[in-house]
Amino acid sequence: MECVFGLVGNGFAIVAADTSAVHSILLHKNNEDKIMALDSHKLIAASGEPGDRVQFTEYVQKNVSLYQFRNGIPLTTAAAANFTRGELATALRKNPYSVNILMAGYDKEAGASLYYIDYIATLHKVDKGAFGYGSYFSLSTMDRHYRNDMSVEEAIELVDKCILEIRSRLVIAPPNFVIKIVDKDGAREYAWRQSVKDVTTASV
Amino acid sequence: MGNDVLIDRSTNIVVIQIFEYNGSAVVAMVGKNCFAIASDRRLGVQLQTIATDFQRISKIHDHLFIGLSGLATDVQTLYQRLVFRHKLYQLREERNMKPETFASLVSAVLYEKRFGPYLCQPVIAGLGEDNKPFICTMDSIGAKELAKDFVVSGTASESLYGACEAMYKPDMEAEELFETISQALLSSVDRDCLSGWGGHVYVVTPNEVKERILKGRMD
Repeated sequence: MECVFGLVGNGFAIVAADTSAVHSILLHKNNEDKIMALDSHKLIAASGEPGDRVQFTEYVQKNVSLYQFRNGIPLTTAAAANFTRGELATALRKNPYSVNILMAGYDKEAGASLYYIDYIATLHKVDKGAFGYGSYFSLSTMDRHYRNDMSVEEAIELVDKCILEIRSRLVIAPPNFVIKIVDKDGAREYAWRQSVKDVTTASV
Repeated sequence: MGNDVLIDRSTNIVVIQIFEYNGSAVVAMVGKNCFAIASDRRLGVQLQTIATDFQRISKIHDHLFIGLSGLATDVQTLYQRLVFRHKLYQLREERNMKPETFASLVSAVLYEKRFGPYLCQPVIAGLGEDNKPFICTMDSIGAKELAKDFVVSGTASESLYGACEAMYKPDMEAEELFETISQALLSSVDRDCLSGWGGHVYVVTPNEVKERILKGRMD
């Protein structure tokens, strides 16, 4: 089951997602990146049906770029989140997307922010959020240890605690996670947490 | 709304009770030349709590508030549509909408979607002509229910009916009205697992709007 979670720290936001691509009982790959960069200072971590996830997040990414081309300035995180919610809400009663999204971004005026967007287009700005079965463990762990204005090191420690909790308590826990961070210097990959590396087939 | 369910058409399995999906409680009360409207603050996804600062009551203009309970996504969509309609009205008529007119507008907007409705129950509260308070509620397809004393909606509505009936008296001043509506809200949401995590109360008199956050049982 897909695990996505994120939190806001002091001038940055972190999102972590598992990296398994699953089809029924088969694990296709364990290094699937589910966190897409919308632009230089926004990340969108998505979970849900694989086709919808990729198609919808790419659609949002292209529209965010289009806005920047047309208007010469990038969208704020709040605007991008509201745009995403609008698209999900419009599609909801026609052809719904089954994608849950955590959008993290950094704006000069607003600082770092994290938006929780449900697959039925519920939008809420949060300090910490999570989706999937992993949320039962990561949200509680974050509730216990989270404080406002954590430093990057403290936040990563908390993310690792959540990953440990998911690994030890979720029955089909995903083996690998990717952690990405967004702050005033932009959105970038922070680290991977791998317990199973890709094994190349043995040569006969 | 206890029998409305969401059916997954691909499997024809009953999935969820839609009106109970996010959890909500909204109440409005009439006082002496004033009104109060209050809501809980929980945003949940069935049994899991996502946030404890969700805004269910929105201002349309200084003397008109709408509280929306029900499915959170439709609460947000409907609020955006209604603000849009009211802003257009303001541009054309160069004045604010009267509460009775706004209630009719909401009713019409909801009934437009009669066979695919917005899954919300609005509570509308405003000060009309001569600062006479006006409250009403409606179901998700726009059936208006006017009341002289109080209106309720949300998952905690049955508890709210009982608490309000017991605590309400007519012609209360603003401070007493605030106390009454707060106690009614907090005691009702304490009996409902899907709503709570504090309260948000607006008390509106002809001259001012007082917004207060209540701290209740945080569970």
